[in-house]
Amino acid sequence: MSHHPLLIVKARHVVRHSHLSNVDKQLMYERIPFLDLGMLALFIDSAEENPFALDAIVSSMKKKLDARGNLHRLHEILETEAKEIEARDSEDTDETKVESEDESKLVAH
Amino acid sequence: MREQFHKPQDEFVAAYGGDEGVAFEPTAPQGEQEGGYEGEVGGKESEAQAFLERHSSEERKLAEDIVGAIEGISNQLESEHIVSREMAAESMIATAFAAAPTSGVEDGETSLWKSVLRGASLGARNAVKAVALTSMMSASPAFAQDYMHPSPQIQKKVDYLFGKNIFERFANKRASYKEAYTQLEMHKEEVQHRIDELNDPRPRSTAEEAHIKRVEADRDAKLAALRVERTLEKAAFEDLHTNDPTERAEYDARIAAIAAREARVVEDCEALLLAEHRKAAPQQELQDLYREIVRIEREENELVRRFYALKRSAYGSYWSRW
Repeated sequence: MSHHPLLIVKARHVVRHSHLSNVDKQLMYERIPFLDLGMLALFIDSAEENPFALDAIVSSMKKKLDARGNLHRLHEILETEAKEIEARDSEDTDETKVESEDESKLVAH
Repeated sequence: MREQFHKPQDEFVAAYGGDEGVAFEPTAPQGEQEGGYEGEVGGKESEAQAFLERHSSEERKLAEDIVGAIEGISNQLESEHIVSREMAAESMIATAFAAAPTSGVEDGETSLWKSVLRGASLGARNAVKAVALTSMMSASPAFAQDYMHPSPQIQKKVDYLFGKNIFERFANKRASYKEAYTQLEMHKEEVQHRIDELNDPRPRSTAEEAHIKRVEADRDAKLAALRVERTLEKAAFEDLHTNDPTERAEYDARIAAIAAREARVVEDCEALLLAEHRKAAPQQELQDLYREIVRIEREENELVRRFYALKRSAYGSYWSRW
C-alpha cells in the first residue's frame, strides 16, 4: 500500500466527504489501504463520477461480509454478481440493437 | 467467463483452506492474556514518552502509521472471518520482525505487542507505539514498506469485497472499446488522406497539358474569329449611315447572335476542361471512400453508445440493484 499513498489519501478523501454514515465510512477506511493500484483508481473514478456508487459498494461489501467467511455463501454471492452483470449486459446490448434499428429506419426514410 | 468468476473462490480455498475459513487459537501464555505485563508497561510508557520527544513529528507520524497499519490489517482480517484480530496482529509482528532482523526488538517486547493487541490498556498501547518507533528507526528503510504490505490473498479478498470482478470487467471492456475506437480513428485518417490526395490538383502529364492547350487555343481562335465578325458587322452597319429602325433591329440581332456564339464557345471550352479534371480524379474511388468514412463514423458512434451503456452498467444501474 505504500506504493500509491496519494491514491489512498484521495480515496479516503472521497469517503470522508461522502454522505455515508460513520460506521460505513469506517468500513471503507479499514480496507482502502489494501486495494491494489488498479482497483483503487477505479474506485476513486467511480465514486467521484457517481456518488451512489459508494452506497452500492458498501451494500455489496456488507453482503459479502455477512457471509462471515463462509466460502459457500461467498461463492453464491459471486455467482449472483456474475448473473447480474450478464443480465445487465444483455439488456444493454438489446437497447443498443433497438437504437441502431431505429436509427437505420430514420436514415432509410 | 465462468472461469473468471470461479477463480476467486478457488483462491479463497487455496488461501484459507476450508469451507469455513481457518480458526486460530491464541498461543500466548495465560499470564500475558490476563494483563501480566502491566507493570512492565508502566516503565515502557515513560521510556516511550522520552523516546518520542527525541524524534521529529514526521518520524513519530511514520511510527503511528505502522501501528495503525497493524491495527487496520488486524481488524480487517477479523471482520472478514479469516483470522482473529489478535492472531492477525501477532503474525504480522512476527513477519515484521523477521523482515527487519536488525531492529533490536527483544522477545519480551514482542510479547508486549501481543498483550496490547489483545486489548491491553491505553498506556500499553502508547508503549507499543514507542516500540514500533524503535523498530522502525533501527531497521532498514525498506522495513516499513515491506511491513505495510498485506498478503496477496488478503489484498485479493479486499479487492473482491470492493467489487473487483465488476470493475475488472468494466475496465477490460472499456479498454477494448477504446482500442477499437483508436483503430477506427486511424483508419478514418488514412481514408481522409486518400480523399485529399484525389481531390488535390496533381501535376498534369505532357499529353494532358498539350490537350488543354489545344482546347484553349481552339477557344481563343474561335473567339478571335467572332471578334472579327463583330467588327465587320459594326463597320458595315456604320457605312450604311441609316436611321431606319428595321435596319437597326437586324444589326442588333446579328450582334446578339455573335455574342451568343462567343458565350457558347467559352462554355464548351470550360466543359471540356472540367471533363479533363474529372478524368484525373477517379470518381468511383472517391465515392467509395466517402461511403467508408460514413461507415467508420457509424461504427464510432456505436462504440460510444456501447461505452456509455457500459458506464451506466458499471457505475449506475448495476449498482442501484444492490
